Amino acid sequence: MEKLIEIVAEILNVDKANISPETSRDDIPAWDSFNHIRLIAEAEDQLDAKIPFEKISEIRKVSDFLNYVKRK
Amino acid sequence: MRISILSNINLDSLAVRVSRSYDVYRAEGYGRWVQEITNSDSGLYIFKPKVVFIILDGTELIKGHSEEEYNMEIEENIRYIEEAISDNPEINFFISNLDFWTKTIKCAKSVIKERRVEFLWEENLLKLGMKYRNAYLFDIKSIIESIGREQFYSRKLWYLAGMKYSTKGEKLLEFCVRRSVASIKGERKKCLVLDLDNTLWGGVVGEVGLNGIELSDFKEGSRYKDFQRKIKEIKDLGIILAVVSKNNYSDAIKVIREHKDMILKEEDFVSLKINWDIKSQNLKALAEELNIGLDSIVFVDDNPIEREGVKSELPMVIVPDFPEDTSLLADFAEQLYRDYFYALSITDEDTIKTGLYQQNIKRSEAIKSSNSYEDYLKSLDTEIEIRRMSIEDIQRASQLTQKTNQFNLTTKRYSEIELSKMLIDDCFDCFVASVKDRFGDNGMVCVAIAKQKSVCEVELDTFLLSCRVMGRFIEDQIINYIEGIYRDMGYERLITYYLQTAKNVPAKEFFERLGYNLVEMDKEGNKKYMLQLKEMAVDSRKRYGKLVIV
Repeated sequence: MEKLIEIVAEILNVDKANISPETSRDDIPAWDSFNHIRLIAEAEDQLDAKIPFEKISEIRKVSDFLNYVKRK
Repeated sequence: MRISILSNINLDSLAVRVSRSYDVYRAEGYGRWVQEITNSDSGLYIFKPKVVFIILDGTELIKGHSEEEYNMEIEENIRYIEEAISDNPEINFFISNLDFWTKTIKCAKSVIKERRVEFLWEENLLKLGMKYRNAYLFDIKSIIESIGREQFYSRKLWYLAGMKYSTKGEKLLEFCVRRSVASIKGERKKCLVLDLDNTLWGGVVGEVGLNGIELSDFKEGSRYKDFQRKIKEIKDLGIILAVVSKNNYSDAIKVIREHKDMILKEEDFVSLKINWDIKSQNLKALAEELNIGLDSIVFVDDNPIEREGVKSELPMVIVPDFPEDTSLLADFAEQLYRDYFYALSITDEDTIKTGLYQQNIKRSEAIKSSNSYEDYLKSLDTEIEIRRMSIEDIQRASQLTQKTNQFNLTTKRYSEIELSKMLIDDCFDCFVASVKDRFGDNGMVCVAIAKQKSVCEVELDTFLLSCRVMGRFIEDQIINYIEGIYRDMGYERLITYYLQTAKNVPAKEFFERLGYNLVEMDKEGNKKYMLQLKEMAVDSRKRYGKLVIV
């Protein structure tokens, strides 16, 4: 989880303290569709996650990523 | 550094990564790379980047199927690129080779179009590279070859966002971009220092003897032989090698001279420090002997205790981790090359560099055996050849401005492109000098650039002397010649500067010694001088060499 929050903070360029598992796309303006894709790519790479194409738009908040991470 | 990344696919994400360290221009919309490079009022040219990367995807660029169609497409795109390169000589262009993610499904007998196109494209790029100073190949295919297409590309990102490269691929590209920019800036280490036991060969020679060490053509011993091969390749690109090893000299030198599988020979090293002294002391002595900074040295040793010792004693020396798995030694050498010694192109000087440093060591020995330093200088039979800089000199001259730190009065770094502009500019006079003596040819060691400010005033924009020939008063004779030229042409004053940096202390009092008048000095220690050319104090110039004017 910590690693995930780090990734989100880095990609969206916001302070780690402002990110929680409940932070959603609507809370942070920087979380636009471009950065959404970057988040998906980075999470797959660094967290060994596999997020199916069809599920990408269903990810709304930080904790949603955890459903796809194998090693938590 | 202002750079730009252009592409025919979406590389915004790469641009975001790279923009953490550089000022990056991104074209709006990724189909527009051709408009950007061919239109002289485009956002790209308004931005004035120093380096432009054109990273192209094969599948999106070349759509034609017949030979005629794809030949035309290649020709057309190369034409746009060539136009940009030749119209903008002050910009360095890196153009990628092409890769096709998927190939057309074909029967075994038919020609595979993609491979033909990849080949033809690269042929064209190599030609551009030879024709233009400012064109380079951006070798994306090497990355793809080493990690594989499956890892490099991401279907998901392509269908989602028009991005083709996976995060992993993108990170490698980012590294390549950084490395290319660093080479444009001329940041390259000079010397690779190697340990012997368990580094250049397996085992400890003092224990197992000449025939007991691991070094052979096949199996275990070839790990070390392959490692040596790679190091030899690095040396051939202008990096000097040295040994610092704790060993009995006789044991170790016997291996170097006699072992049939040693790729690296005694003459490949500029210096062999094989003794029981502390390694950091040996490295310090080596740096002094070669007259290079400790920060130009990369030290490779398998022993973590030695590495730690050097790191703590000499933090400026680069000390990379040694691979724990010795089957990766050759890859490690390639990594060293990519990280510290990467070269965009090499000059003639690079290929003879080891010989130059070896000569210098002989000179230092001659100093020790001379009665006085003056006797030594007289005994060298120095010959200094001064000439106007020509097109053929530009590459080496630019290299000198990039790399000379110690005897460099203004430390202005000039690219080849900038120098070629100065050559045709009437305001500038560019000189270079080469030095020979009885130990050999030092090649070009001096660059001087004078700028005519008015009918009576000339300013010395650049004056530098390679550390190879420092301390021989060669600078005296060169400056004396330059002063003479302008005096004879009727100029009244020569204005010179000493701009202080962390490294150019050896040049600090140069103009004082020559009798120039200090006009201004600011709190950083930058000084401005003036010489009335008619009042030149010629007797303050030392002369030990013969001057040849070409």
